[in-house]
Amino acid sequence: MDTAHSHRRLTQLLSRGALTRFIIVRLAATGLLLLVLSFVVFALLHLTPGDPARNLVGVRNVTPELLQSIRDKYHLNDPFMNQYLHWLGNVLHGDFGESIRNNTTVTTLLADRVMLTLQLSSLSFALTVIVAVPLGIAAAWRTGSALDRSMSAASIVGVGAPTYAVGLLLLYVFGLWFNIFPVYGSGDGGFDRWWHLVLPAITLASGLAAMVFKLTRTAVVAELNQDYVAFAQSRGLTRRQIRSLVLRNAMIPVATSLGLVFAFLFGGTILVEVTFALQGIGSLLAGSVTFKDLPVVQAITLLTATVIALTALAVDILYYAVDPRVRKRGMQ
Amino acid sequence: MNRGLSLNNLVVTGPAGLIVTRMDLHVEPGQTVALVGESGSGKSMTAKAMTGLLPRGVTATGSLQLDDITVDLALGPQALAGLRGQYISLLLQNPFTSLSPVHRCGEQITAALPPDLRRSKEEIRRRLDEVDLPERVARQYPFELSGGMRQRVALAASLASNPQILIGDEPTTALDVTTQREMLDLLERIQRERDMALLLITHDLGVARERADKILVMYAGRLVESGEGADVFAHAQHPYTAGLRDSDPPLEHRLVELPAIAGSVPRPWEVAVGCVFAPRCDRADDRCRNEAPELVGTTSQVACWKPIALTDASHPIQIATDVQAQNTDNDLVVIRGLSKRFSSSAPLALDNVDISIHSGEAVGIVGESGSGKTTLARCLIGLESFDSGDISWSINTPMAQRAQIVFQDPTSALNPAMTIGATLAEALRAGQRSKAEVVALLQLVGLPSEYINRRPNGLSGGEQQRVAIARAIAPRPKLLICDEPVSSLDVSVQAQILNLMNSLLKDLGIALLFITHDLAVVRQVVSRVYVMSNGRVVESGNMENVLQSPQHEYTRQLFSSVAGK
Repeated sequence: MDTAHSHRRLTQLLSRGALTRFIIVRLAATGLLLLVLSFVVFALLHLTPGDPARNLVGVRNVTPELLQSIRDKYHLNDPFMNQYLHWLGNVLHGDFGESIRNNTTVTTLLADRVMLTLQLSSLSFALTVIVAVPLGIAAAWRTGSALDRSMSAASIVGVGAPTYAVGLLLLYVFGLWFNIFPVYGSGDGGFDRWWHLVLPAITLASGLAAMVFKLTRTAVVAELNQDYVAFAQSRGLTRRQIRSLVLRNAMIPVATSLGLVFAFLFGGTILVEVTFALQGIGSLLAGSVTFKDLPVVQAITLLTATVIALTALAVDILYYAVDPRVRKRGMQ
Repeated sequence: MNRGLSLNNLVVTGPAGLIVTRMDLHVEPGQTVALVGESGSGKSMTAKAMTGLLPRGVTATGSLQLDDITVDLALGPQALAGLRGQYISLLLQNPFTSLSPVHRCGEQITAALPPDLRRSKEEIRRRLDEVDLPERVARQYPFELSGGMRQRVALAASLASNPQILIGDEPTTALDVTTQREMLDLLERIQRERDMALLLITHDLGVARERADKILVMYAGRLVESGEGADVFAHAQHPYTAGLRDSDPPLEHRLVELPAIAGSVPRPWEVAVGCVFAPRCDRADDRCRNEAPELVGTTSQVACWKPIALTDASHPIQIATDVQAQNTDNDLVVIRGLSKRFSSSAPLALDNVDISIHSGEAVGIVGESGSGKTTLARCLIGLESFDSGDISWSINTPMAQRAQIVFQDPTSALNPAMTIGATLAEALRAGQRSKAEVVALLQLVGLPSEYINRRPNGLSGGEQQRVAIARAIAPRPKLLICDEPVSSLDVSVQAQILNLMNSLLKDLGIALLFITHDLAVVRQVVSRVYVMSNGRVVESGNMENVLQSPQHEYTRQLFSSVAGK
């Protein structure tokens, strides 16, 4: 008994060590990926046609002195690699330079907007998961039932309807007609902020929920057809027990798709931000691209990439936690 | 009072029509009843109907009697829900899919127990001990165990609620022969200890003959014969039972030709009138074709208008003298010191393998899963690379004309979108031969020329395998490699394919490398054999010599594991 117990402790410690190693390896890979990406993002400035210094001042009329001061400030006369390392050092300290359009630092400009987009994506993600996953499970459990058929039909509409159309419809019905939700702007922080985000979040969630519903349903149906379900039934396991067996297995593909959904959400809020006049990074990116506001474009690109990479990392860790087969491979 | 199980007047109906017609069955406590049949016989559907696990769209009528409980099967699967586990339990064929991959074995075994016992270490240990598994298995996941161990876990799980009857649906078919024997012994021991009834569903006549007190033979959804133990086969009354028995290849001698049953198993709902077996029966007359026979008899029952009497002369069996391996030096291909490792942490898949094949010679490789036999074949034909060693061919033609391969599953080996004619024409092109040979090829493998315009999914498994063989011989290779070519076929069809292979060898004069786990099958085809285990050749020699006096311990173990032969 004692030896068995200590043996198990040992196994647990070993597997915990393996988890740490797994996370370290994945973090390093994520770091490397972002490093490569930062290089590409930096190179954007030099890939854009024309004089980098001129690109950094935008469309304003400039004196040679001003151009020179910009060259000095951004070390534009240094060799390319030195410029990059200098830029990277600043970025790591949260300094993306100054916006060309607004006379503020990129960091101040982004701070509030990143928060808004994160809030919007999180709310939308939560709505998607809360609605679509249980419905997908329920529909799979009763394949061919009225619920299944009506949800499957609704999900086709959900996937097909364009975001701005759904947004305008929601605005009209709940904002103007029933006058429940605000129709414009980002709110004054706190609860008001969230209240302003409800309609945009629903708009975003509608298409995604339809997709997640279908993915969940397919995953659960596939598991229900597995031999282990028939075997569990034949042994007299209760419906509850069988459901837990199935859900634990179906969770693996669903979790992966949810990771993708979040990454997609964070980078795909632009249409909704424009429709609802929200001050998020999507609308900022659109404007910055139009005005060739390169420092802002660089910052947003890198930020979005970081969020996506971290989400992928989170999914990997989740995988590790729920699938013993991945755990085993990770240890070897 | 435990009086066993009775199934009365079971009828199973699917979307296309009848799947099982009027089936009666009785199993006493402590008794083993084998339900034998080929694919489509309805044996698995019978098991599913008895446990209320019929697929959507399939319904059953009839009644099931267990103890003093009678269940009307027409009430649907819910009627049986209360019986599952405690009265009746089902063990499935494939231990790789019948357990949840992400739950620990211990948890799966005790899931059917009352909640307070589920986490009891004592209980889990006792359950594992019953199926001869060590305690550590409780904390392991199914993927960490071998097939045999997984099936033991599944057995322990199916026994958790102490059922009075266990239905084993091909419980050993997915296992290797040596593991198969251990599993059957274990089932027998547990059954005796628990005085449990066992209904063994199998296509393997050897298993039924060796293990069952009573055997029921099903064909196309009907019970055609039943009787005591091995008698059913020894004194078969139904021509189908006799045909099945005769087409099962023997291990002790090689036959000139295996007695095969012509044609293939019909779908139960396609048989409108008359005896289901009449179209394939050489004794059939007008009455057989127009009137369905009832099952009659007491201890042994048969549904046949013209049963075979004990006094009837049986077919004379022609025993062939084993072809002696030619001691020539006309080597077609010589493999020397072949080694292969799939990943650095895996054991060697091939470990210094030496094999030679002479021109026109039939050579067998026998081994269990993981022995490296398939990897060897894939290396030989260039589908797989190897780490060291060499393969030297005595001919210098393109690979397509050196060797061709036939795989186990013809359904996945043929392109479903292409007609048979197009498939064969493509293969002929690979050997730079004329498209005009397609018809001749079909004839060679015993298929009618109309099949040119058909696609694989309209063909039976045996016919598909004939097409796969025709495709392989189309470029006129010097060596035909067959990797388990009959393992997915029914016994009666297997005999047809083995006969076909023998006649092709004779007519075309090509060499054959026959890879299989089945000793009796390889016995009927090859003259020389290599026995492989864990990537190594452990024994080789003339088929007969190896059978008569196996030298290696593993070979002996392999031979003693063959059931009922």
